[in-house]
Formats: sequence, C-alpha cells, structure tokens
Amino acid sequence: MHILVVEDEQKISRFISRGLKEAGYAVTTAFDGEEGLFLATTHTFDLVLLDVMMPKIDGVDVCKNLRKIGKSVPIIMLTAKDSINDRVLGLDSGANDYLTKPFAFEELLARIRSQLRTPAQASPNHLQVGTLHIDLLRHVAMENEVILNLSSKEFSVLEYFMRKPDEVLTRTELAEHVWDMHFEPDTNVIDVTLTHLRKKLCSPACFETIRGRGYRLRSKC
Amino acid sequence: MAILFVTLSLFSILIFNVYVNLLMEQVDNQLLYKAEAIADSINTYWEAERLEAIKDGSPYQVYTIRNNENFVRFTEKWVVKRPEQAQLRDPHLPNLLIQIFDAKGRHIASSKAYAGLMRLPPTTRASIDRGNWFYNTALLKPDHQPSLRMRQLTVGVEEQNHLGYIVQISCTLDRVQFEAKNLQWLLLLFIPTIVLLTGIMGAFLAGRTLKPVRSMTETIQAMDPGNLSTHIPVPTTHDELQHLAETFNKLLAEASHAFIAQTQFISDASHELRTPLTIIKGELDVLLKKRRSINEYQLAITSTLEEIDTLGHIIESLLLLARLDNTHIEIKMIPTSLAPLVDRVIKRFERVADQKQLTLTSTIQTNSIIEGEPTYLERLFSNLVDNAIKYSNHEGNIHITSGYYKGTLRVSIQDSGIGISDKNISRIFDRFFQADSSRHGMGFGLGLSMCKRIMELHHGKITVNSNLGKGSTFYLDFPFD
Repeated sequence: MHILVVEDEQKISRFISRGLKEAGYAVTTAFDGEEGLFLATTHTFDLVLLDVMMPKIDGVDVCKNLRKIGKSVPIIMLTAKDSINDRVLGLDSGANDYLTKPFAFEELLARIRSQLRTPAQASPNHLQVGTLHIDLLRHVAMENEVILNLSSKEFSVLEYFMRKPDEVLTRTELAEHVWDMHFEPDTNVIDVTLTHLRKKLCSPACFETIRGRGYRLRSKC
Repeated sequence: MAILFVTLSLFSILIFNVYVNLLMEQVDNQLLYKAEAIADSINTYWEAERLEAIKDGSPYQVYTIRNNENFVRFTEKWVVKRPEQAQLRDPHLPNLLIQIFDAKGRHIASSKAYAGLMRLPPTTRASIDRGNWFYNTALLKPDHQPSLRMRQLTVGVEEQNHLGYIVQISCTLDRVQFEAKNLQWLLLLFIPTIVLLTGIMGAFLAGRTLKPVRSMTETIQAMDPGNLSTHIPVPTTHDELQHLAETFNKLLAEASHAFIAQTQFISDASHELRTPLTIIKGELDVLLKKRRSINEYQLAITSTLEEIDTLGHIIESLLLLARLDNTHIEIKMIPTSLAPLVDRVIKRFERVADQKQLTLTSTIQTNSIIEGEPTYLERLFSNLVDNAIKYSNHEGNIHITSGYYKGTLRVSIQDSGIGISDKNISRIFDRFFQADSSRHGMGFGLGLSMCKRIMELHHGKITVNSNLGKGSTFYLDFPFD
C-alpha cells in the first residue's frame, strides 16, 4: 500500500517515512501543500497523511481540492491545531480522520490500518483468500496454517493481491502501490518478486498471469 | 413637559395680569378724560352764569365756586338735570356715577343716589389737597341692589390757584371683568392643549431621533465577545450619533483585529511548541520499534537534544514576553559597554550568516557605554540580527555601527535584505505582525515588538528606514549623558 506524506517539517517527514516503510508501506513525501496537491491529483495513492499548517497551500485547502476533483483516497490529517473548531473544520473539509501532534506512532499505524480496511474484510486485521491468510498486526503470512517466510516486498505484494482478490492487477498498479514508483518500470523487479513469491507457495496456480494485462489472485483455484 | 406646563402657566398669569392692568389703565384714562370733560363743562356753564350774574349787577365775589351756595344749587341742577350735556352715558364707562364735593369735602351733588357714597374720606380729601388725583377701587352697596365693584377717580378742580371743588367719577368694572374672564378661559383652554400637543410632538420627535440609538443598542446587545467582526449600523444624519457609531465601529474593528492577532499568536505559539515535541516523540517511537545500530541511536539522541534546545528557546521567548508585558517591572540598570555585547551577539549568529553567505560585522566605538540591562540588550540585538539574516537573500551584508545623534547614542543595524514595503513599515513594531505569514520563525511576529518594549524600558526609541528590495536600517537611540 502506497502512502503520500505531506509535511513541511523535515524531521517529522523523515521519521514518519521511515516508520511507515519499516511497517511495509511504500512512501512518497511532499514538503508543501502545492507539491502535495499536485502529486495526489496526478498519481494514485492508497492513503494520504496531510499536515495542516503548511506554506503555500494549507492542509484544509488541499483536502477540499482533492475532494472537489473527485479523489476519494482516505486522508488522515496531522496537526498541532487541536481545538474543537479546527477538528471540525478539518473533518468537514473531507478528511477521514484527524490526529493531533504530538502523537504515538503506534496510534498512527492503527489509524492507517483502520482507513485501509476494506468492507470485504471479514475481520479487522486479518486477510483471508483461499488457503492464504495474513495477520496484519503481527505481519505474518500463512498458507494452510503454515507460516510463509517472505521478504518485505514479497509480503507487501501478497498483501496487495489479497486485498483485491479475483481482480486483474496491472504491473503499473503494482509498481505504484507496492513500490513507490510513478512510472512504467523498465526493470523487471515486479516479475522477479512475483516469481520468488510463487516459489514459496504450495499452490502457486492461484497466481495467474494474464498475458498483456497483468496478474490475478484467484480465491478459488 | 412639566417644565413647559409651569413655564406656560407663569407666562399666562403674567399675560393675564398685564392685560387686566392694561384694561384698568384704559378705564382710568377714560375716567380722567371724562372727569376733565365734566370739569370743563361745569366751569363753562358756571362761567356763563357768572357773566349773566355780572350783567345783572351781582358782585363778582359771589360767583366764586369755593364755598358758594349758588354753586351748590347750580351743580345740583347741572348733574341731575343735564345728563345729555354731561355726557353721562359713555360706552366705555358703564354705570357712570358722578359726584361733586365742595372744597371742604362736603357732598354737593350725585348723579345717582348711592348710600354710603356721599362723603369723601378724609384721607382722600387730604390727597386732593396736595394736588393729587386719586384713583381707587371701592365696593359699593346701593339700596336694594347687589354690591358693585367700582373704580373711582377723585379730582380736584382749581379756581385761581385754590381748590374750587372736587369731582368724583366712578364706573363699574363690568367690561374689565368680562374681558378678563374671556382671557382667563382662553388661557385655561390654551395651556393644556399646547402642553398636550407639545408632549405628543416631543414624544414623536424623540422617538424618531432615538430610533438609531435604539437600533445601535440592540445590535450591541446582540453582539457576543467571540464575534467582534459585526458592526453597528451608521445613521447618515451627519451628527453626533453618526460620529458615535463610526467611532464605535472603529473600536470594534481594532478590538477584533487584536483578538484575531492574539488567537493567531496562540495558534502559532502552540504550533511552535508542539513541533519539537512531535519530533522527539516520533523519532524515539520509531527508534524503539526494533533493534538499531549504535550510530542510529546516536543520531536520534543528538536530534532529540537539538529539539530540546529549540523548545528551551521558545519557552524563554514566551517568558521574556510575559515579563516585558508586565509594565511594573523594575529592571536594574548598570553601565553596560555595547561593543563587547554586540560582539557576543555576532559570534552567536556567525554560522547561520555564513550558511547564507552574509557578512556580519560591527564597528562600535569602544566608549559606547549606556545605562542598561545586559540580558535584555543582548536579546534586543539578537532579535535584530536574526531578522536581518532571516530577511536577507543569499550574499549580502549586515553591518552594525554606532554614533552620536542629537544628544543620543545611536546604534544602526543595516542589512541588504528584501526590505519592508511602505504599506507595512508603520506596522512592523506591532504585536504579532508578520509581513509574510507563512514564515514560522521563532519570533512569530514578536521580535520587533519585543525590541520596541526593551527600548522603552531603556528610555530610548527604535526607528526604521527601508527600501523594498534594497534593504533596511534599524536605528536604536539610547539616552546619553
């Protein structure tokens, strides 16, 4: 899952970025409202972390603009402004959640998980597709109750497929959401990762390759 | 309205009295005129009789009036029997009564017989003797009739420098009473009507005038302290009310600005304080999530210390501000040498200035010693140097000099930065003012207002000269003995 972090204070941007990456997310950063708005409109993200007090365009305006042009990406606002008025203003401008600074990093991670939860998920922090199971909290992937030994990127790829079962996912989409890339990759890092992942599965047949279009994880195979 | 009523009442009483007096005067004049006419008539006829008597051969003396029986007879005849000649009927003088008395005051004749009238009171007689006319008002009770109020005139008629006889002429005051009563009724009707009308008119006009005041009062009452941006309606009456409304709106606007500025300050201050805390907390949170290298721990600890320093500076600024705001503080002033103080400040900012390739220099005369508080003075210069650096682009210079100017010690801080616009230059010393609102510096708009306050405490002043795009120079004038 790919998160956009819009924050003007460098040190804050850095530790958030690092923490999220270590938690398995792909991260892109922007340092002011203008840049953030531009990136969010021109690329696809799974979630946006938005600071409020920023130069050029503040967080509330960025949020309003994104909603106006129809972007429904989940937005969590991060800010030092904690008055009731500010919270209401932020949420009413279109944000899904509002977190005041300073915050505990664990709380940030939990709120992100909450926003990324799909209605299709049976239980909040578990993904289940066929014989595959992922415990999102403990960051563990299993097949038939057997723990899979996956690399960070392999885990992220599997997680992404399991969030969108039976859907054809293009390489571009995978590049954008699992890797923090914004272009059609020349390297075949995606193919390589998928090959490695399949090798570690008991029933790799569930992962289909659709020539010319992309890949698909079947829930029944 | 009560005042009006009282005034009108007094006025009408006055008018009434004056009018009655006027009428009385008229009557009196008529009486005098009539008395003179009667005297004339009597004298003329008497003279005629005397001439006749002389022709007949009677001695001259017999025909003096004074104490003359003939005169008595003559007068009786004249009064009773010649009403037409006596012109007794007079429209101005109702119930005219003529009485003649001799020089001694004895009754001679009356045109009507009224009991109690036929003698002349001695006091009256005495007045006549001295040559006065005598007016008086008497209440007479004729037989078988109701009493009459009569105005009397008693006149002595001269004969050869002696009193010859006395004419007394009276009339009733019917007409006067009639006219007086008319006026009385008129006034009685007039005053309440006027008062009522005035009251109504007054209430109406007052209502009209007070309507804008009422609407203003309502607007003010409906205002709540959180929403000072409303303003009261201004009546276009070009009077004091309009001026009041305009002044009040101006006050509201200022209060609103001050309130907004203060809210902005609190928001900025909390942001400035929370950012270092967020950094410390976040970095350490992430750091502890898993095993890190020694180097990473060291970096995190160093970063935390930096942020703690930042917090310290911000808190110190806020405390200093609070202290400066307290107008009753007594600061201990000691002789302070500016040259080493400015050098210290420059040293502190050298690195930052270097990063922007700015030269930071000072030439302060070594004998620049003023009465001051060193900590505040250092803060003063720090703020100014900090600003100069902040608002300068790369490659420029900042120079601090001192000199004597009109009896003061003047320190100038000159920079080659972006300058201050004419629009802003009068406001830069205001609390919380920031020319570029997106800058989050440590000053958050307080630096220059702090400088101004510090200069005030040192009995000096701070001024600025600036050219947009070229740079600014701040002048600090300290009192110097």
